[in-house]
Amino acid sequence: MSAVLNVQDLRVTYPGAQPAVRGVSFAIARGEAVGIIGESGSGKSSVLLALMRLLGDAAVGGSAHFNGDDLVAASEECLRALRGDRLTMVFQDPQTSFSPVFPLSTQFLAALHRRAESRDAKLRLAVEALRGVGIAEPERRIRDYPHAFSGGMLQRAAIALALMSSPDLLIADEPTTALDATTEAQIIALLRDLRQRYSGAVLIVSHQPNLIAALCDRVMVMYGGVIVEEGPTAQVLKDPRHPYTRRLLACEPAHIETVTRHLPTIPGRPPDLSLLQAGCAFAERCLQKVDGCTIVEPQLLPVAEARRARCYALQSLA
Amino acid sequence: MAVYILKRLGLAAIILIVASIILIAMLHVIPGDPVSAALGPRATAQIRAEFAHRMGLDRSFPVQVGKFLWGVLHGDLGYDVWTGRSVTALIGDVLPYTAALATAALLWAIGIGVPLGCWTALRPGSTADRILGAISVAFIAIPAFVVSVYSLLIFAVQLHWFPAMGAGEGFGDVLWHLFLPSLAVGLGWMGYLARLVRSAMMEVLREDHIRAARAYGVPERVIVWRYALRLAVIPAVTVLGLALSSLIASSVFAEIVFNRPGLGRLAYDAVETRNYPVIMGTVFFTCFLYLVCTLAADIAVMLLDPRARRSL
Amino acid sequence: MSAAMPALAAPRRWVAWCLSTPAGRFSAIVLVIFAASALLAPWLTPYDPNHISVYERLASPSWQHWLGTDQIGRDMLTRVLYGARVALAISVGCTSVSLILGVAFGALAGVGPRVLDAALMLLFDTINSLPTVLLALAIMTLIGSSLPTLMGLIVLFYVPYFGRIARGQTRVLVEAPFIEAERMLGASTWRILRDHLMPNLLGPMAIIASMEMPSVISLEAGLSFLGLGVRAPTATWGNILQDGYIFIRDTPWIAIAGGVPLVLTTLAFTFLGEMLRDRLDPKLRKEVT
Repeated sequence: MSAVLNVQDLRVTYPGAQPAVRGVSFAIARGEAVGIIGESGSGKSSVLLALMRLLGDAAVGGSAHFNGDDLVAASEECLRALRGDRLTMVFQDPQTSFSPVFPLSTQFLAALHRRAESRDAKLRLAVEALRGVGIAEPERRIRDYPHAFSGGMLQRAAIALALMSSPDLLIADEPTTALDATTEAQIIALLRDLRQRYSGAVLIVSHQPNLIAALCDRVMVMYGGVIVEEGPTAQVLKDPRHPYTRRLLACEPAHIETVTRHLPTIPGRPPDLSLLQAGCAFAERCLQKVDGCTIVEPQLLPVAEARRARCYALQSLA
Repeated sequence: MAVYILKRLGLAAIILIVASIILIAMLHVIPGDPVSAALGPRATAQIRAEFAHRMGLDRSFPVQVGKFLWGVLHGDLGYDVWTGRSVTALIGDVLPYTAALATAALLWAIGIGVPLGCWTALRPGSTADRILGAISVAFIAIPAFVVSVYSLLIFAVQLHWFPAMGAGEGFGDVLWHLFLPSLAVGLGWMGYLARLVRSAMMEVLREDHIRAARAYGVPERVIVWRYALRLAVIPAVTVLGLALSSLIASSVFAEIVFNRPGLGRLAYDAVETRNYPVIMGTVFFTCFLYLVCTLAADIAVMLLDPRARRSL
Repeated sequence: MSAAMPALAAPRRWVAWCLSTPAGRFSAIVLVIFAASALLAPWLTPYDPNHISVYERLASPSWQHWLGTDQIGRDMLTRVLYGARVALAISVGCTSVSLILGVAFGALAGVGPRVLDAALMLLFDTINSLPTVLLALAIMTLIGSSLPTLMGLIVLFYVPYFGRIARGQTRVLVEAPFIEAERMLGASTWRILRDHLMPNLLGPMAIIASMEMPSVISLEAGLSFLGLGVRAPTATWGNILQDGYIFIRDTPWIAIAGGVPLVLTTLAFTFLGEMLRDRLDPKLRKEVT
């Protein structure tokens, strides 16, 4: 199976700050759905924006081959040709995904500017895309301004816009975080449903394991700018190996079996990457820390069939 | 929206009433009265009484205000002390000149200020941006009447590139005569709009929906010149009403320096002849124009920005 | 503001900051010359600003008269130096009086009963809607032009401007949590005004006032130019420009002498005001621009 995206040693550094992403490598096969989970500040969103090259003046290193083009080194023209066509993105907050001063129709047409069809044909395409994500009366609704939609409906529209061109890779940055719980469930159901019809690959970032579990074949766990664990979704979520993954999943209310008044938290704070010393980024908060943890950062090495983790405690066992 | 416009119209009417109260109160409160101002100290008591009666100055204060407002409703702003012509007619005669001057100045300000603001917003911190920024600030700071005098001195008197005096006759000649005065009056707002649009544009370009548009593959020129500009001009449109009315006000200087007819010239000449009703009528009418312009600008903003429409 | 004030308490650092950019150096030089000529005018020039010399009418610039003379032989440089006195007195005087009155009325509107607030705002709005120069013409027709009238007019136009901003700032402060807490503890409105509002209000308002200096100077010069300000023999930049305008065809140096100091001073005040605002209170950017 050939990879649609092959990321090698991706690094992101914001101006005047320490690296936010410190060497991330992974591949996504055609049609595969991959998830990234991790808490705020783990660098997961930076990975996505780096792939889209939407980071402004942040320095991006490494390589990311997408259908043969290196997204990190690609020219602005090359990127413009890919974005919105082969490579699309859904953002966290649907209210800020659309310009507030144009009706949806204008914005759908602008995204379809490459197509040779007539304006009417493009508009029909956009209406069908909206119908496909469950927006009622799309012929009328497409003429509405973004503020006339609810958050959930607007996120549906954003998804329709992203999938209109049947991209090879759809990138989604916390697509349900800004929505309320019921709407979130509907969007997850919609995305699941779309997975049946749409053949491209998907890369989703979320801090909600239930979204990843519902959609992704494989999951990567990020912490402190690196991948600390990866493997098939079901296995990782059911049987997490890395101490961080175990603690992260233990914080999910759905996973807590006993009735409690205190939701669990991971003691300590996410690492301040500007203060990061040698060694494992999680060492400070880790309960299974061994002597080597604070000296040299462990490698991402196999810990089981199709699974890898970045932890001395696991590698010494294996 | 209709309710909002009605409210604004109501407020404008109240402001006009308060303005006329202030204007008429000035006649009573300020030491020195319009009768001796017009007739001089040596007029006989009989002439003074006749004059005061003719001007309605012998009535009580509320009656005067009432009469004035009643006249305003009928398009009557009083009469010239000396010729007896109606002030409305006098204003009507010169309004086209001032309107042309202010409009031309506004076109300078928009035509150069807005593109300049966009252009510098796309290259912030560059040498060109900093130099043009300093020039814009200079345009804002330098008083319009100094620019008028200097442009007259340099381009009309010394270089003879442009006519120095008058308003011209025939379309081309009128435009030719408008060139220097309108540029002199519009320069300040040109600088102001350039700064305003620049900062608005930079702010909009940082917004998330612009990033989203890039991710959807919308071409960069559409993003900048359509998506971003549409939002970046909103603050500029908000101040356009203010701009137009302040341009009308600063036209006074250009009209005097370039010896053009207009509202300012009318009022200025009326000072010489102590023609108080003419000045009062001009002040009142300009106040009315100000209110119309600012209301029109607010309505334009609502048409441009659907969010503003919704928030009402 | 409280955090920004210590920056002003260290004069040497403040001067160093001011001289750190080209615009700052330009402004500092111009304003030092401006202040020096205003304060030291009698010692800087051997001439009297109103000394008439019929033999030296409309003389071109020379070693005796660096900027030439006007239509009745008065030395232009002397008149420009003395003009700085009027400009300084009016700009500083009018700005501070309008600022004090504006803050007083604005704070009153901000904390006072709704009726008072509405009445003051309506009055402010009305004055704002009236055309400055034309209204000045109207008042001058009634009482003639003089320095006190001119200053009164300028104050009349600026009080609503400062008042509106002060009222807005007061509303924000009144609703701030720490004021709410004070009120719960039983502090009187007067006490809150004195202890909290005034200190928090005066800093930002002073910045805004300093930024209005150039427009006050140009308003004064503009009205003098129209013959509505300080009466003719007194040397002011506006009067000089008016003389220059009359003789613009033959003796352009009079107009140049009157306008250049005006341009330089307004520019210097504007550049400095922008720097001050950016440094002390970036939040004000939006409100003032």
